[in-house]
Formats: sequence, structure tokens, C-alpha cells
Amino acid sequence: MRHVAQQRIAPAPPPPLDAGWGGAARRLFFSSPASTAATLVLGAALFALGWQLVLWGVVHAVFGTGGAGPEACRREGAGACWAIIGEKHRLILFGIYPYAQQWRPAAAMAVLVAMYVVSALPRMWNWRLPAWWIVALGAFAVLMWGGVFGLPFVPDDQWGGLAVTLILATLGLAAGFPLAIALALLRHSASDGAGKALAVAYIEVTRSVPLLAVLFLASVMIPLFLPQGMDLSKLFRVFVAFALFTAAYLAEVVRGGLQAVPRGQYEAAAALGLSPFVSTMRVVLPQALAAVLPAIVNVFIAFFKATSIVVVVGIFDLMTAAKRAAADAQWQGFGTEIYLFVAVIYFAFCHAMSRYSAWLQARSGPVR
Amino acid sequence: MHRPPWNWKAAARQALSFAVLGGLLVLMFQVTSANLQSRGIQSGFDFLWKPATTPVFDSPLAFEAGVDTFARAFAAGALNSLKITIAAIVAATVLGVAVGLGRLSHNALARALCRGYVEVMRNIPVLLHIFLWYGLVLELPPASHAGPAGSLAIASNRGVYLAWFESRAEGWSFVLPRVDGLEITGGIYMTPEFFALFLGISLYTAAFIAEIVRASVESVARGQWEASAALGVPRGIVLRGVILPQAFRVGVPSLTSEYLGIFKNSTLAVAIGYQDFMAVSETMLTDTGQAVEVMAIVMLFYAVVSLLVSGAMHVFERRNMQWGAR
Repeated sequence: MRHVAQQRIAPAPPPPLDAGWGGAARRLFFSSPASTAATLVLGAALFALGWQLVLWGVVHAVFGTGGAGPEACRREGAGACWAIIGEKHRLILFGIYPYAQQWRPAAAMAVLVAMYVVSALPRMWNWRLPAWWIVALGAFAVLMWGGVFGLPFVPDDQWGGLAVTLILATLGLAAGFPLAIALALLRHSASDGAGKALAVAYIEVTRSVPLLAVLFLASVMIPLFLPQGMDLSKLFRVFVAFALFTAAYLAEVVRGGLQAVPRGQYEAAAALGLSPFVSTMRVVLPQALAAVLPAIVNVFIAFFKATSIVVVVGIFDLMTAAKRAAADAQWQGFGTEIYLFVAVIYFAFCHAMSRYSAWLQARSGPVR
Repeated sequence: MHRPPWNWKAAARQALSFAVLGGLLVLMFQVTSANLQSRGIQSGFDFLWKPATTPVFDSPLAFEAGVDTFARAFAAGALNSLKITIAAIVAATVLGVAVGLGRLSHNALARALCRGYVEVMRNIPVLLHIFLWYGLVLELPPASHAGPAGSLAIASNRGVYLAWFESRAEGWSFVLPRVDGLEITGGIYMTPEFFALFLGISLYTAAFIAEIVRASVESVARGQWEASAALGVPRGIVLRGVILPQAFRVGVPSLTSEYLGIFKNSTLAVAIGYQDFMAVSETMLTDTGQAVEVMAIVMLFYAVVSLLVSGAMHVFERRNMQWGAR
């Protein structure tokens, strides 16, 4: 066995130019003349812009008024006026909810956010979760409306800010979801008929009109459709419009999941003697929903952002609160700071959901 | 052809569902017409041919309040909607393709910047983008202090002026906007409302288009890159001549829905007072009180345009697929 090496030969080191930090930097930023040029141009632009932003947002920014009011932000050379956030954050987060009671929407929002986190954990997906949600929504209603346990009653036209955005998104999606499943099952069903035609028409028409048109429709037309003497609160009308609109988009996603379930699953369920209802509920739907879970989360993100549109029909959500805060004549000219603050709130929620969606996608294994 | 036997049970079910649906519709119609009568609102589409009292500004179709009809007001609003939609589609596509390709760059800085752009832009509601830009435009200096003369674009709190070609007596010439006392003249004029809407929708949608471009390019088999590289074709030409044509076919359906999204998002004009179709309709609704007719026109307009576009794209896709099969 002469031709077999007796000792292990150490691997040769990489060429010195490719090794270490210098090599990595060269590979990432200076791999070719074009890449070098891009790095220099983009780096210079980024530096110039970033420096201006730091000057505006940090170095020259006014973080507190020191009792001077808006004038503190109006002195020569002042940058961003973050003091306005300190001044207006209660209005932005809670709207016109009675000031002394604002711990209640804060607690109610905490309940909802805690439930979002709990529901995101796959380990919690069992029959207890809906029960917990009912308890949580009950707690939300008690906290927001009050009228029991010594809490003063607050009508829902005084709710506002982030709490309204959260409850609108949560309830709109929760109510839209069963309708979406019904629509998807109807559209997916093998036999033609009135139900299928209606489902197709509903989904296609709803998806082809803007949400704003549906919101107008709800706020203008629902009162006309209702018998006289019967009236619904504006928040409730908008919530109905949201649920109906979301359902059409969710239905298409669910239908995608139904199409992904192999035919053999239906046939196996039928062969075992399961009724069509049981096989749909226990065999087909669970697989279909699991397959499109990341896409469902993406619809949630889109609709969380879309709740901001209610500003146009006069619901006091987070966006309306921001607009109201920016319109204060005393603080005129600092709307940018307020909108950036609100942008951070929306970003935090949407970014968390999109990371969660990506995680679900990775968890379900490689895409075929 | 095999025909299934006549199924009495299924037929009865169908008939029942039609009956219930028809009953609901009749009931709704009766309740609604009773409501309308009790409020003294007349019905019918006659109002379309009467002169409208509220003006429509900044439309390609000139409109004079008190003289021109409601129908013309709707048309002016529709043209405004199409104007913002087309402008935003062009801008969002250009920016989106650039950012999407930037995410595939060899350069790590370009990749990081494009990724940051996408993450930040798409996680903020489009309405917030619009409000932010609208607020910023209104904070700009007035026309008399608008700056620098001789540049391609001048922005003031009254709007934005872009250099463009104009026909003069001596032929076409490239006209720069210039400050003329308290006014700015020359070039293309965009109102603050149009500009904020245009910028907000374009920047927002560009992030989604960038993701579509990236995903479509990544969907093209690696072998295509490698084969082209083995043939010694430069990377830029591979991208233009080999990869993008194949990626385009993958991206068209998603791109169509983004474009329809732009069309639908253009209704957010209502929030800042740009007179698109939706805003004009809302005014007409308040002026006439004929909610049912006006909402029917609104729904019809958006549904017909959207369904036409998606139908056309469907046909285009089918033809495209045939090219692919050949």
C-alpha cells in the first residue's frame, strides 16, 4: 500500500487576496469594475442622505419643548420636532377616548396583541384557541365599552386610534374567514349550479372594485336597504363592508389550497364511508388551509394596511388620529414627524407578520 | 355524449336557492324604494343630462360648472383616474424593475439597499405614503422662492413643474420651467394633489413590482445563466436577451394584478382631494342625493375596467403560453 498517503495533508490556504475580511469585502463590494463603481456611487449617496437625515432627525432635532410649546420647534435651525410625538401620542394611540380612562384601550390592545402572539404559535393550534379568542374579545368589549364592574360606559363613537385599527382588522378578518371558506368551497365544487355561479360572480366582482367603493356603498347604501327605524352604527357598517370585502380575497387563497389537495384524498375519504360534509371538514379543509397558511397571513397584512382607508368615511382609526394630530393649527408644519411615528407603528405590525409568514413558509418545507 | 340522469333532488335544491335569492332581492328592492320615497329622493338616470353645479379641476376634459352636464363630470373624473393610473404604472414599473434587479446584483451594497427599500415601503399603508408626500409638498417654499432656475424640475407648494417638449411657432423645443415673479411657467404642471398621489402610489407599488421581478428572474432555471455564461455572453446581454424574456412570461399575471391594484388605489385621491372618478362621484352623490344610481355607476366603472383589463391579460397570457410551447 505504498501509494496511500501515510499522514493527512493539510488543506492549502485560500489565495491571500480572497482570505479574511479583505477578501470578503472584495467579493461583496469590489468584485468587478462595475461593482466598484456601484459601491462608490451608492455609498456616497447613502452617506450624504444618511448624514442629512441624522442631522435632521437626531443632531438638530427637538426632543422636548421644555415648557415652551410649539415655539421650541420653530427656532432657527431646528430639525425634526419629536416633541410633538410626546404632545400628541395619547391622541394618536387612543383618539378621543376619555382621557382619564385611557388605560382601558391600552389594556384592551395588550389583550389583542397577546392573543396575536399566542395564536401564531403552532403549538397552540387546538380547540382551546377559539375559546381563548372568545374570552379575549369579551375582555376587549368589557374594557372598551365598560358599563360593568364600575367602569363608566364609553360609546363606540368615542373609540379611536390604534385600538380601532386593531379591532377592525381582527374582527373584519375573523368574520370574513368563514364566508371565505364557504365561497371557496362553492366555487371549487364539482357541480355547476346557482351556488357556484353566485360564488364566482361575488368573488370576481368584489375583487374588481376598490375597497373605497365598497366602504362608500356600506356607509351610503346600508341605511337605504334596512327597514325604516332600524339603524346600525358607522363602525359596525364599516366592519361589515370589511368582512365582505376580505372574504372575496381570502376565498381565492383558500381555493388555491383546495386545488392543492390531491384527488386521492377525496376518494379515500369517500371509500372510508365518510359523508361529504365530514370529509370536507376533517380531511380536505385542514390540508388545504395548511398548504396556504403563509398566503393567508399575506392577505392579513394587506388588510391590516387597508384598514387605514376608513379615514375617508370618518372612522377614528390610527390614520384618522394621525391626520387629526397633524391638522392641529398650533403645531402646524410638523405633520411629517407624526406620519413617520405612525408609519413605524404600521411597519412594526406588518413586518412582524411578514417575517411570520416567511417562517411558516420555511417551516412547511421546500416549495415544490 | 353521456348525459347524467335528471336529478330531482339537485334540481329542487337549485330552484329553492333561486327562489330564496329572488325573494331577498325583491324584499331589498321594496324596502329601498320605500326608503327613497320617504326621503323624497327621485330615481332614474335623468340627472346625468342636467348641468352639474360643482366644478372638476385639472382634467384633460375641460369642465365648466353650471354649464356642463353630470355625464361630462363623470367623464372628466374618469379621465383623471386613468391619468393618475397610467402615470403611476409607468413610474412604478421603471422603479420596480430597477429595484428588483438590484436585489439580484453581485454588489452587496446594492442588494442591501434594494432589500431595505422593499421592506420599508411595502409594510407601510399606501395612504400613509400619500399623506406623507402631500404634507411634504405643502411644506415646500412658495413659487417666488422656488428653486434653482434652469433646473429640470421646480417644486413649490403650488405643485411641481417638469421640463418637457412644447410646440412653438418655430417647431418643437425643450422648455425648462422658470420662476416668473409669483408664478412658475413652462413644462408639465402637476398639482400638489396629483404629485403626492402619483409619488405615494408609485413608490409603494414599486416595492411589490420589485418582488415580482425578483421572483420571476429567480424562477428561470439556473442552467440558462450557466449556458449563456459558457457561451461567453456578457451578463448584461444574458439578462436582456435570455433571462428577462422568460421571466416576463412568469411575471405577467402578478404584474397585471399590481396594475389593477394601482387603478383601485387611485381612488385614495378622495383622501387628499384630487378629483378622480371616485371623488367626482362622491360630490355628485351629495349634490343629487341619488345614492343608488351614483353607486351603481361607480361600481360599474371600476368593475368593467378591471374585468376588461384582466380579461385582456388572460388572452395575452394564453397566446404567450402558446409561443412558449412552440
